[in-house]
Amino acid sequence: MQKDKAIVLKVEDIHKKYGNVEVLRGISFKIKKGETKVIIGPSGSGKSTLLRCINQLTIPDKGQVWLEGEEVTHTKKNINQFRQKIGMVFQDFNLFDHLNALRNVEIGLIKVKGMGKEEARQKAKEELKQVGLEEQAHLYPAQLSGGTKTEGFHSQNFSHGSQRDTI
Amino acid sequence: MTENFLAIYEALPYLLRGSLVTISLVGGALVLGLTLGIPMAIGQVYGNKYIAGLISFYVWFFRGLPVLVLLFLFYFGLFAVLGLDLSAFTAGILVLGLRSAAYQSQIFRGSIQSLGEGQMLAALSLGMSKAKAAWHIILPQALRISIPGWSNEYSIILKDSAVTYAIGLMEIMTRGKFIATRTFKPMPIFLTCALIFLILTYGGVKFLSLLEKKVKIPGYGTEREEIY
Repeated sequence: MQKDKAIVLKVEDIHKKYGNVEVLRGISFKIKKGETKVIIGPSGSGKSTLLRCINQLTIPDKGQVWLEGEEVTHTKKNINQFRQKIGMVFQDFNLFDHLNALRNVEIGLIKVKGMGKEEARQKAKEELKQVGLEEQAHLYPAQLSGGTKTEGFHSQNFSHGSQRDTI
Repeated sequence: MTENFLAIYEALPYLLRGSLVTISLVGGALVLGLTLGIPMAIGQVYGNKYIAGLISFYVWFFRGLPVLVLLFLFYFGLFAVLGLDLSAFTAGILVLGLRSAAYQSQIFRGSIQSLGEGQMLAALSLGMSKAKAAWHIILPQALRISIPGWSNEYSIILKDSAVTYAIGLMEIMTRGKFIATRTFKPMPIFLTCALIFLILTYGGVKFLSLLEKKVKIPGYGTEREEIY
């Protein structure tokens, strides 16, 4: 139990099949607090599938995931609460297109975390400042360059209080 | 020639009152269609197979029947069978509205699907429920994309409204026919009716086009503005 406390994320024996192709065949690993793990593999090797199994955007066929000692898979508990703690940056920058950069960072805070509007705005401004985006706070995703969008997405995740950023 | 203009001049107030009926009819039907159409679209895209199946059945039924058939079924059939003493106006709004919902749901479904799954995934990843994501993230974008297609629906319902002539609703065409037979001047009178419809169509479509410009998401679509 002592050992488990230092472990933030534990993934055990994940299996996932798409049709006849078994993409994940028993993946297990642990991540300790403060640790960075990198998953490398060729295209189509199952990296994204694995990440999606972790925050249950895809349900694995077999296997379990624990976040901070609590089981994420096969749980009746609200998956949304777990997702709030796991940050995910998608390959194709899924910022919300109808909101400007500031609103993008704010929206999770207001609608999911239930923060007050003023507080959320302040926090959002700080986060954007941290990545050097405060000048572009009023711009919309379609007006931002690729790199800026990634930074915007990171701000959205970090301000949301994500434990980790999954890329 | 002057008697033609005189006939039009005398008929105009009566016809314009009919326009008010038409406008209320169309407005009511579109609102009903919108209120039902949006949830149906969401149900078809994000709902389970039973919900989606039910909605598909509804869409098939109301798209598969001519307006006239639906009007008669409701006004002369259903209302009588259920013992409801409802007006032709009510029948008109109900039928046009329920039918519009079927068409509108497909407009919105197309728009929602055109967003791709990324937006919903991003929202879910932040911890939003599907419902919250649909309301705060999906719909604001999908509705904007729907405006051009929706202006089609507006003009179609406007024209379909004339079919209520068949159940005696005193809208533009019913009144037009009434006057034309009494004055023996069908051409000028029906041309006036046509003109009223054209003006209503133009007005509505123009309004929607202005709305589209006003709510446009900056940077979206094909006109890129230079920021730097």
